[in-house]
Amino acid sequence: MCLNAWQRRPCRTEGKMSSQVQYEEKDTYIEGDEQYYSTMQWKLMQRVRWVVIGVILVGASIPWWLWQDPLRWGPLPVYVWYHIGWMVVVTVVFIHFARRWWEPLGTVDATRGDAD
Amino acid sequence: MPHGAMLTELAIVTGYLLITLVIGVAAFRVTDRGAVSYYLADRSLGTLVLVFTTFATLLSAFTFFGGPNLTFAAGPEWILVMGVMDGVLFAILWYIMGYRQWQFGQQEGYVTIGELLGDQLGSVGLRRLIAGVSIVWLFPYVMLQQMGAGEAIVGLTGGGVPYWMGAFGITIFMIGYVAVAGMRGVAWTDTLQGIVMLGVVWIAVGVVVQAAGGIGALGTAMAVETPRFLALGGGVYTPQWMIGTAVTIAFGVTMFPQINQRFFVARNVRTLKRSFVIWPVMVVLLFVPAFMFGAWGAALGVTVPPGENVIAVVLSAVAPGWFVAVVIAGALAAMMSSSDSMLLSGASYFTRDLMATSRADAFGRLGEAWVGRIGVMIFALAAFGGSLLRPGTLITVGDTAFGGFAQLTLPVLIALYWRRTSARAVIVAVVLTQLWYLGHVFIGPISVGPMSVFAATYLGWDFALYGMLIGAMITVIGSVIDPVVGHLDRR
Repeated sequence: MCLNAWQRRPCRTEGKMSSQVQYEEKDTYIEGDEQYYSTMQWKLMQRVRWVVIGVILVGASIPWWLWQDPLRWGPLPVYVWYHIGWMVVVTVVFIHFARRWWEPLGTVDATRGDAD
Repeated sequence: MPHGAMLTELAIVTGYLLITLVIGVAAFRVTDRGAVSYYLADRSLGTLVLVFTTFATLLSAFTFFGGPNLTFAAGPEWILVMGVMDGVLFAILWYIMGYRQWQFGQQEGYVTIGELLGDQLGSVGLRRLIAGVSIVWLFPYVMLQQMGAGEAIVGLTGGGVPYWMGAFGITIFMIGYVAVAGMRGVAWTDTLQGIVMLGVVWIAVGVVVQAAGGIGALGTAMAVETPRFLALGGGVYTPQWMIGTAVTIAFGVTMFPQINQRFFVARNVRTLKRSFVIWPVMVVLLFVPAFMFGAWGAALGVTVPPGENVIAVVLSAVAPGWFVAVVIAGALAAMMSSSDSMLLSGASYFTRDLMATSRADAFGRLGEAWVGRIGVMIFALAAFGGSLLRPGTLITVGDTAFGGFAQLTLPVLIALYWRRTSARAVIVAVVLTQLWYLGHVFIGPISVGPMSVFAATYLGWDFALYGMLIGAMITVIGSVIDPVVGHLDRR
């Protein structure tokens, strides 16, 4: 049985595809996707995608377009308000990542190490 | 300053430290004598404690004393730099590096990163090198805490307690506390200190807002007195500096012994995940008020003599002495939690990675625990000696330490993920990048024709960033050409 590590309910395994990535197994199907990728390719693709998302999360934390523009709202400059708001966005993205991608992208195979 | 008032403040600070000590003793009674219990609290830390201990460990004199001093002088953009660094980048590294290390630790029982790398890459020399370099850069960072404490107590007592005495008193307390408490004690007091800091920082903001005459008045004060603070950037805040500083510090932080060792202590994956998600939230809750404090202080026209602590001075102008003492006690506690953790983790590197690997009877009749404690004492006292020299501001001393650690991160990360990584390549990468870094820190810029070598920046970007890239390249290229690697079947 496969456990969703975040929510602790079993994966749906009936039907042709499981909507839950089962990280103990080597073959992985992508949700709603008809094509089958090898685990290594798929992992690499997803890792690259998340690296890009990570770079965006970092880069957009600072509102570059406000550079040297003295906007203020209340006791804080607007760029501080923006930053606070962005941290909320970052938190949401992190929650999604932790639920869905944490183990699939990062779990080490105990027997042979993660061959990259 | 009136004698009575000063005594009250010192009493509050001392009282707080004593509570901390009591908690430490309680933890001591629950701790086994084994290394995993003493250094890693039996790998049993749950979410609340792990989040607070890691956060409290991250927050030190650099944060609470250095940060507001910087925003006071240069503006609140530092909030964004620290936010990117601790809220986003560090969280990402918590996953990329921390989860990976945690898994290896669960499988193989590692206590230090040196142990992990030495075992996985088959090299005791690498283990010792990582530990040695880490201990070297720990030195200025411990020194920074003592400097911050000394300055804060000077500010708190209006000069009544001189700098050296404050720094020395904190040093003695640190040594005693680490000797008794172990990781569990440190983690518990971190939790207490984290909660206290959060509460205190927001109350302090409330006090300042009230003293200024409301939020609107504060905003107007900023617009009138410090309009340059409202515009993002300017002065020291260039895009390259902001991004470069965030990157070097975030990457450097992961190789701090006290942070890196916390990658091993989570109870389970859920704990790691929850901590991961909480970082951006914690960062906002703590950094925005703490750092705006400095900026608002400037807007309110408070003057801070050089070498004195902004929080202490600004608060003294708007709040009663006992409250200032509570806030300073909280900041000192944050600094203490970092120092305890540093000394504790540094001791584990010393006893396990350096001494235990050198001779079978390295500990003699004393035993590992006592050798560790003596090492801590010598180290802390030496750092205290350094703190008397005061070689720079808290930010510059901290920045220097961070950059030194940051040189280690990419080679280590590559070694954690790539089976082909060669121990020798990592060793060469570490040694060369440390030389690169030290050369830049201690040898000033030298003109060679039209160019400058050992310059602080190249094309606007910090030299530490180049060092990181060089380290990564040497690790990869060296591993590819190393003929030995293919025969390792350990992983």
